[in-house]
Amino acid sequence: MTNSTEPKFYSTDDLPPVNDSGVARAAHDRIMARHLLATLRNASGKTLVDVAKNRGVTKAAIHQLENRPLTKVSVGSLVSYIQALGYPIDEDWVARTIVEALPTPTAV
Amino acid sequence: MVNDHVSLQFKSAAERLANERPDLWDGIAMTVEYLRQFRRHAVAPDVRWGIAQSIFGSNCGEIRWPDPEVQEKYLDDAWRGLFVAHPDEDWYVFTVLGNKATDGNRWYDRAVPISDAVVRAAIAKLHLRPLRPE
Repeated sequence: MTNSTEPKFYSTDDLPPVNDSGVARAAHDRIMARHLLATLRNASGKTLVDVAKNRGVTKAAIHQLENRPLTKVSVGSLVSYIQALGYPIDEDWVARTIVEALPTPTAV
Repeated sequence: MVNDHVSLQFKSAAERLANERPDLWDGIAMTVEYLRQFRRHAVAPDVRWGIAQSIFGSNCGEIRWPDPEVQEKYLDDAWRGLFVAHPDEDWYVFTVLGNKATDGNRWYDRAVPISDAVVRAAIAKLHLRPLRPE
């Protein structure tokens, strides 16, 4: 880290491109899986601590479960997986939550 | 219109990583894109909002990589990319990118003051909408 006396700034477009689209895609998919779980947990009004308490396990155990690798899964399988973790959800609720969590399109 | 800016330090560190550790950079690049897409709705643990050491408090955050699923491959890597966002989403400034694996949480003692200074410089130089310290 250097502290330049004359600060320079760039656009995010000036950052390097990804090297391997397969690696990038896999990373993106894992981030989105975690985003979905965190969004569902937040929308249900539960914290990680709440979930752990309800399940009678440690916060780290829930965190580990939420981070379990899921590769190519359908939304239906994902819902089943989340329900197996103990989240009381239904498909309608998931659909509404996902739509509400979508970012507002930004003007370009 | 949303304006995102990158400091020279952040860009230089990204370029080094992209050359020397391209797979690591690919993950970090995706995390940057995730934050840029979801902004304040970025709730996945790959983004942490609220860096206590920063004068910008809840408007300061970090991107984190590698993720827990691939951490085993990168035992000496715990990359953090600090950023500050205007509360009205006017702008984001990506300030400092570094590996905190060796220093642990002491990394923040060095990086956060630099990040805060970079944001103050960006506000002045780029005429960004001001952001008061918390």
